[in-house]
Amino acid sequence: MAELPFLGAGVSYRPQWSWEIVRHRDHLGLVEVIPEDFVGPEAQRDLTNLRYAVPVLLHGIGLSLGSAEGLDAGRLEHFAQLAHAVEPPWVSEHIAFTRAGGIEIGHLAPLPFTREAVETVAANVAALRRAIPGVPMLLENIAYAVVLPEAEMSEAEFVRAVIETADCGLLLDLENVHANAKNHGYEPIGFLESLPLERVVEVHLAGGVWLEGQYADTHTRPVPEESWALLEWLAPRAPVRAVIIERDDDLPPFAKLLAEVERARRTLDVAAARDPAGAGR
Amino acid sequence: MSRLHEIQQALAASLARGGPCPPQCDPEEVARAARALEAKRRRAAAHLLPHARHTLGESWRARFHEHAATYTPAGMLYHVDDAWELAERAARSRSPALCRAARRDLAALRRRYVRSRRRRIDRIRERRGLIELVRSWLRGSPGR
Repeated sequence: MAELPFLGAGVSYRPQWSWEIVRHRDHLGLVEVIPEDFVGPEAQRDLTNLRYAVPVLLHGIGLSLGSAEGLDAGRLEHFAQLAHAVEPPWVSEHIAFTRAGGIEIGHLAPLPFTREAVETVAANVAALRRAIPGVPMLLENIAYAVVLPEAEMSEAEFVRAVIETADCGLLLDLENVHANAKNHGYEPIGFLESLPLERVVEVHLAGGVWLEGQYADTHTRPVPEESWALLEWLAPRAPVRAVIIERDDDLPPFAKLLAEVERARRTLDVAAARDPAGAGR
Repeated sequence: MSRLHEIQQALAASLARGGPCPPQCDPEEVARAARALEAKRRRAAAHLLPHARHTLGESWRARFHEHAATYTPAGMLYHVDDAWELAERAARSRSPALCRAARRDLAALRRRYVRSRRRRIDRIRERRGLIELVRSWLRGSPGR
């Protein structure tokens, strides 16, 4: 992962923002797209055009890398097709499953913290690698509302085991760490210290809301100060090459999003200035 | 079936189909997660069906709940499939106002997407451009 380029800060792509992204490309180090937003030849043409304006990363949400049933051939083919078209510096997916027994859950569901789950993700990552040989791969920690039984290790140990067994980089979602810490009662910095920070390549930031006494990672609000504090802690300790501000709903004026992008970029710059050798550039 | 597969099937059924809580899980946690998932589906459907949403007003939530309990969407454009099914059901309702609203929403969906009944990743796909359609007709394989 050491040779991956430094991209800076950017946003998750939303079709409503296509024009704003192109217009403000000088302020964006990158854009991250979800393959599901680009189904069909017209949409794929839009995506190839987008990459001429700004570097594009592919971020899967539906490959279901944690599925005991293996990968869906159609989804794998679609992902590989886009990866070949876009030639992203790296691709990413989640440490989660989204389908089982013919049911699409429509959301990222957690895996039990077991060795079997670790081996399953590693086997599915190997299948994905065969479809897109040579493309570096990152896996992301998720926010989870349901704690599954029969855990053989802690969440941090599980994330580390998956990353190391599958031999991937880490896409560290700090808002998910913030949400899990709130909902499952742990200390976020202690959790981060247990992760393989040397493998962090990318960071996600977003904002959620309190629902029924739980903090939900809804991507509908500005990034909370708690998550900014985690980025400030992390930036001097990990070779972060990209930060994405995610927003899925209640979309603000693009200028507000750009202000968050600028804050993320400044945070990386400050860390690099303090320790030029340690930062990821 | 592996232990992981068993857990995944049980959790998927409880989250997306109102199935029983998987053994050893906290029923309250699972029920809360299922409600959050339904709320996510409802938000996405509201964006895609603005007229039906407006016409249903206060009863939108209950109507969506009824739909969500009996339909499991599929495909990569999962949220479009979900909204499409709800609009088709609403278009058959006894309320003329709701029928009109749902038909307007369906027309907007049809302008942008094509839906097939097959439970595959491309159950919903973006409508191809005119040139692509003409080419496929000439090849004798009209768009699905």
